[in-house]
Amino acid sequence: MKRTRTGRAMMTGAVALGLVATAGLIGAWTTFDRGEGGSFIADDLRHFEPFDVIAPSSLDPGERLIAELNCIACHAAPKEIADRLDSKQAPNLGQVGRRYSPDYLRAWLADPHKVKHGAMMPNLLTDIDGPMLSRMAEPLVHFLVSLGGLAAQTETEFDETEVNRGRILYHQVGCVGCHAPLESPAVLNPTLKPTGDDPYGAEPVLSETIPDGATRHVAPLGSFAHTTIQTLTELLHDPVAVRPSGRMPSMNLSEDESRAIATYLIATDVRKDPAAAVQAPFTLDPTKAASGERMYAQLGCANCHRMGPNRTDILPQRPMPFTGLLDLKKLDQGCLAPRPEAMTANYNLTEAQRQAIRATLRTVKSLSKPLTDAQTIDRTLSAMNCYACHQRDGEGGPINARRAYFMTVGEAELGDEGRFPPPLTGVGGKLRTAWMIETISKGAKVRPYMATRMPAFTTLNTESLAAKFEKVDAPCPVEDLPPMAFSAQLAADGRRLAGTGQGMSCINCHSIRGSKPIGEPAMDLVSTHERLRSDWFREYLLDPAKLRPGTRMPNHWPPDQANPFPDVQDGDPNRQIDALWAYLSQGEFLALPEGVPEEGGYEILVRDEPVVFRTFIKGVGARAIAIGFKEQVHLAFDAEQCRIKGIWRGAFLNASGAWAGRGGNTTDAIGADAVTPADEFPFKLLIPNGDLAMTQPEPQFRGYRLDDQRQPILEYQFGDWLIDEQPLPIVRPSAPDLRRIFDVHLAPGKVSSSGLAFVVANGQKIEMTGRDQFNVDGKVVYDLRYPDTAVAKVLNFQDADHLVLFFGNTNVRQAHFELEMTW
Amino acid sequence: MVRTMKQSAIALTMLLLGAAATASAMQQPLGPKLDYVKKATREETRKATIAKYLPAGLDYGPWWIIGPFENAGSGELDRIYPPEQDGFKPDAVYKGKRGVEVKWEKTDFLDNSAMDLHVFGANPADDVFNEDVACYLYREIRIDEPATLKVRMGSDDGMKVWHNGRVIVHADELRGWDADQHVVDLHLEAGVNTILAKVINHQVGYNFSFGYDNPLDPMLDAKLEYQLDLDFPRSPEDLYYRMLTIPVPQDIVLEVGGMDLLEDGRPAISTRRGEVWLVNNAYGDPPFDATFTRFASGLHEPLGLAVRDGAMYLVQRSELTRLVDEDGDDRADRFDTVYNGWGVSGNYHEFAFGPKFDRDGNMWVTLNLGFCGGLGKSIVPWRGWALKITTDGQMTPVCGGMRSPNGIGMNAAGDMFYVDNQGDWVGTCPLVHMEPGDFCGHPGGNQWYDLPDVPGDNPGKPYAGPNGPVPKHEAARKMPSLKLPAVWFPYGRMGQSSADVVCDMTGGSFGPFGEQIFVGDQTTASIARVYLEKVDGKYQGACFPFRSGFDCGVNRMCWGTDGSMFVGMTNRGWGSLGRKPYGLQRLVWTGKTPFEILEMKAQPDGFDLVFTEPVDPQTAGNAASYTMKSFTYFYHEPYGSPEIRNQQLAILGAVVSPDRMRVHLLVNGLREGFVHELSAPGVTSANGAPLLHSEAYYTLNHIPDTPVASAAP
Repeated sequence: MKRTRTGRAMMTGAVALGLVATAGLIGAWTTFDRGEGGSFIADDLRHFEPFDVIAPSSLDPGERLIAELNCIACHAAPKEIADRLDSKQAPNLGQVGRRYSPDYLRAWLADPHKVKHGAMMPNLLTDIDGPMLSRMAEPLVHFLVSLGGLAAQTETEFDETEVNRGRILYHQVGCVGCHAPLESPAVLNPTLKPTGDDPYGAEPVLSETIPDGATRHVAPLGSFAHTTIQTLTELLHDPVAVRPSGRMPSMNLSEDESRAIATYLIATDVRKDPAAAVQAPFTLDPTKAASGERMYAQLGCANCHRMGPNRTDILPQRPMPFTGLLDLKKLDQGCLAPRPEAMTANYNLTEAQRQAIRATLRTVKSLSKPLTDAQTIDRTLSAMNCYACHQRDGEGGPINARRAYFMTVGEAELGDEGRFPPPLTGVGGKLRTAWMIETISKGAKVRPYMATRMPAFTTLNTESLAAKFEKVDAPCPVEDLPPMAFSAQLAADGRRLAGTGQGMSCINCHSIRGSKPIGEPAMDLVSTHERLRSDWFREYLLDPAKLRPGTRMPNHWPPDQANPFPDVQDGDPNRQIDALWAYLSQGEFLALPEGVPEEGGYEILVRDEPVVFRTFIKGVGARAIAIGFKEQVHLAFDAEQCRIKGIWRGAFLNASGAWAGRGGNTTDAIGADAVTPADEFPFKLLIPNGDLAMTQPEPQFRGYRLDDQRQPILEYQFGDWLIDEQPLPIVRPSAPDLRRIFDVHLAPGKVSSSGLAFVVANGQKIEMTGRDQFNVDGKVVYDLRYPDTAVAKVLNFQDADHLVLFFGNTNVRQAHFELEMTW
Repeated sequence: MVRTMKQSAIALTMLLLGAAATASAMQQPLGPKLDYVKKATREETRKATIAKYLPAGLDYGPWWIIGPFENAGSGELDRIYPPEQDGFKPDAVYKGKRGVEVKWEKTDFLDNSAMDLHVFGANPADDVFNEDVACYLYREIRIDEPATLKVRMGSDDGMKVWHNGRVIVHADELRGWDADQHVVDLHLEAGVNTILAKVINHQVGYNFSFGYDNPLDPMLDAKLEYQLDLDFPRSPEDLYYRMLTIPVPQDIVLEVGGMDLLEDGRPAISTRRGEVWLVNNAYGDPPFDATFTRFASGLHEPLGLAVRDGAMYLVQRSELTRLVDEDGDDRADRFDTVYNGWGVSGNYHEFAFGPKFDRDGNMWVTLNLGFCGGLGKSIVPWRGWALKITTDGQMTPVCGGMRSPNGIGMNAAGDMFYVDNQGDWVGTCPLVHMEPGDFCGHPGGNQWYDLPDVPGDNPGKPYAGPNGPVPKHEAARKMPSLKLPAVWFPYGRMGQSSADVVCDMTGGSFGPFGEQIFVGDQTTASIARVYLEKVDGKYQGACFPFRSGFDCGVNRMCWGTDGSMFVGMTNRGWGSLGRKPYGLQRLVWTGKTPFEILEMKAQPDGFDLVFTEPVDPQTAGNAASYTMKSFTYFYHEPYGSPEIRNQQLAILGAVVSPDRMRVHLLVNGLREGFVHELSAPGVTSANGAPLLHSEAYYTLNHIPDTPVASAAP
């Protein structure tokens, strides 16, 4: 079922070029396809929704089709049936002219299903073509354009930053729960690319075969080459203003985020097919528009579509009265005919779907009975496609082809718990109703590590839905739960349990009131009391894996083991849970527990002996060795390049990068008053004429040793030479300085004939200021001590001065020299 | 309810085995002796013992309370009411707030906990009598001789406290309660001392507390806990394997990363903070005279340590280092880089583990993948690999495909194993036999197979199955070098994050599990036991619960000279069960043999179970005493795997051997590649004891074609 993007792009392109070439009013009917081929409704009735959401078997597929297609907009039904169906409403058209180009509207009217596979709108102009089609459709186009005014030209230039931002957002925040991904998951994680181990393939997967053999389709996505960034931004920012039934929920996108996604979607289509963005000239003809308005009312458009805010709806006119839903008898005619006649609404139904509708209509009276609470839940989860992200009672959850798009933000190693929205099995027994209402109607933000967002379903009656969840899932209403004990002592004990030291170390993984967790950034516990029912909290803590199989949360009261905290609440797990609850119930006012890491709380003080500390140091590298002296001068040596990369004074370093949390983070070591030696490995191999050898050996770090005073001596090898480098502090009245002592000798068994030099410093201007004394850029003064056989020279090349010690052009066997750095 | 039943089962087991007898094992600790008072329960014993450390004749009288008096919040703490003038007169009656009559009432308020003072009016929710009020609390403290007690007081809201009529606390505040708001040295006079406290409340919380510290210093307290553990075991496991907690001085953060014994028997411990500590007197029982010597510091997260030929080898993030103490002062003075050829990108997750020596004197090192976007990646050389390095720095790559290989160990036959951690491409933690050219399953480091002189071929992209992911044993049919774990540790039940592998070569000093493997677990603070056998030339076998309830996540283990096991712990960054954030314990066999399944061996038609003690033929020979199910795991990129393709297996028969040490289980429906989970709660020993652990998990990679002879136990 996989179709390559290239293939589709070529097809669309070819047709679109045809459109431009003929430039006729009707001309070619463009295919603006983005879905899969075939009907928008899958064959398998369990997966009958327009974009193949899961419908639990408790739901009657015929009824769901009648509701989703809004049959009762024409075939009137009594209130109780209408209430039960809660039919999906068509988009508001008040601004439609502004949102789509006339070309697009024209193509759409001619056959919506051709433009957008999966479109719910019936084709009302079935079997009409040629001049007749033009005569009927064109006034409608003018009328629609008059709603909101003529759309602006689609953009053809795009801000690349916006496009990239939109690309990430589109694939990450949850759009691809329902809609097709446009790119492989590698867009979210570039590291997937180089090793080629992306198990989902480089091609986006638009549909997949689910275990029971049916093919799941994706929510239709029209071409965006016929709209504008501004109008698409508005739609994404507030989808319900246009689509009143909330099937497309608000993803809580900011205006900026909406614009980025809009830019990405439009850029993608326009770049693929630049011609599609070129709109034919159009002049709005008020006469045609007026005639279109009459047709709009007569054709039945007004039966389904409203105008939305700030515009009066047009009332339907019924030149051909529709039979009421209860009185429908000829169930194989009209819309339900295998091939609907001209001017009949053609929904492009499959035979299986027609059968399902007929079956329901045969017992249509049973629709007068309200749905049970459980059915209402199933129906809502199905209609809103909650199942795209959530599982409930074994149904739903991200399909395999989409799993890779569900990601964790940052480096949180939380496994599937960190990337997949939580299961909804038993959710009414877990969450407090007020929290459910809040979450469903406004979205949720309690899982900051989860990239996918919980949308805001603003159109749902969330009070009623939350109540139903509670009724179906919970043992009793939340108000009937026995009150949880609270006392200052319980809260204090809970605080102790939450902390490290003498507690259960909840803060090892959880943040509390914004605190930084020591390890994993699991959910902040501050909202526990607001979110969770106390009975669920207790049951969960006593056996987490029972309620969330596979969870990383361990069981803190394993059976067969004595309570680890016998002195807290008499070692009674239930009362210890009371204590945790009491503590967390203080919400924003709770005092943080013991062990919450303090920023920068790991200062290493150098007291007596020098401190050698190996860690990741910013600007030095992953093999850095910091050496601190009590004289308050310190340095960082890179054991990879075997050279000092920074020397500073004052505070030594803070080990929090290595010691806080999981460690392994970079330490910002190089402190105040910093100076840097030559920015290269200082030893150089010379050839007999005194020039640098073409190839210089890589230095090899060999370790370090501590002398009698525990002063470190660094050891490394350069070619045939072994080098000992000892940094030592110099105590001076104003500030400490540094002496560096080098001892170079041949490695055992080596007989070198090469020459050797040492680059002391590089600078813009190096001046000799005394005997063997040099001032580098007015910042550092070097005093050199070296053997008589060696020479110190300032050379100028490559626009810089270089202070170099030459030990001889050949046969250097050993050298001992010292540098004093004063700054 | 379940809990209660389990606890009584523990009690019964303890009774059967004569728990109290172990107390005689105690030797007198050094330092001050503990004045121990044994009572019927652990808590009573603790209280009675602590009481011995209080000043002579110290007796805290009950708290009395009187109120409410009118008090409009802050600023009125000093407004005087009669009890303040009259002192404690139990029969006096005064006019309180709104003219109600108030008199002193005796309470059952407890010290060391926050007293809830919402006690006035008809019900505690009665705001009039519990808000904007003041009350007085009174108690007497008797003592024989003058003494100084440190007490901790707190209140919500403000309070004023008098000791023998002298103000010792004055806090005119609106505040929440905390136990330590006022820490005061109370100079008690001989005889009766009086404490009067006035506590005001503006709104909501209304509390007072009066607490005093445990009079036992940390060392005496540790001694008390030691004795309590002997007399009142925390778990039935204590009867066979005792945990001795070696006290760690407060200024040492002993987050154990590596551990081995020096030639003189002292444990050397490297820590995550980069220090190496030598533990002197580590073998004491009780362990209170242990002391710590800092051998080295400033190393980069050394997560392994091995001692050989007078030198200490340890792995830092960036290199394998030899530490030498040349002058014999117990402090390292040489830090030689033995090998630093693996890459370090700076990614936090690039941990390095090892070394462990093999029989030929090679050091084995395993290298974690880095984490990029939550998935393991090998962006620098040898990440995800096991390397073999000689003491002079010659490196040979062995095998790749590792994710987070926190533990290496050698079995009795000299073969090398490692444990991995659940995550991407690792369905649950496994124990894996490492052989040259193996691919252990994580493709993150596959590119290094392409380097010259590397054993094995690049296994390529993992086999993904025609319809979604498949179990590892099915993928292995398409990927010849894909190594199947010898043992899977089912997530949750057998730990959640494996750490370290040690083999019992103690010759029986550690109990009946000679030559078996022990694997630590960081999250669940426990140790699992593993029995391995070779079927079709490959290792496979079973894991069993062994010991749980350590103080913190188990990260390293090593054998003491006496055949006890040192257990090093840490949980920073990866939460664990237990009471402490790090520490060192020693696990000592008590000499009693637990009734356990010693070995579980695969047979063509089921399994042979070998027990540590003769079984009761009645229960052990009853097929209904056993249940078995089997399941396996997905081999796929997402984190971990659910247990898939679950199947309940029928036990067709259970045949007890003539010596009653073995049972042959006939099982219907064995499946290769599946974990076979055995539960045998009904089996008892010849003297009626239940199994200490009735679960076993056999990873059946291969079903033997012919019956496997049982080795003599």
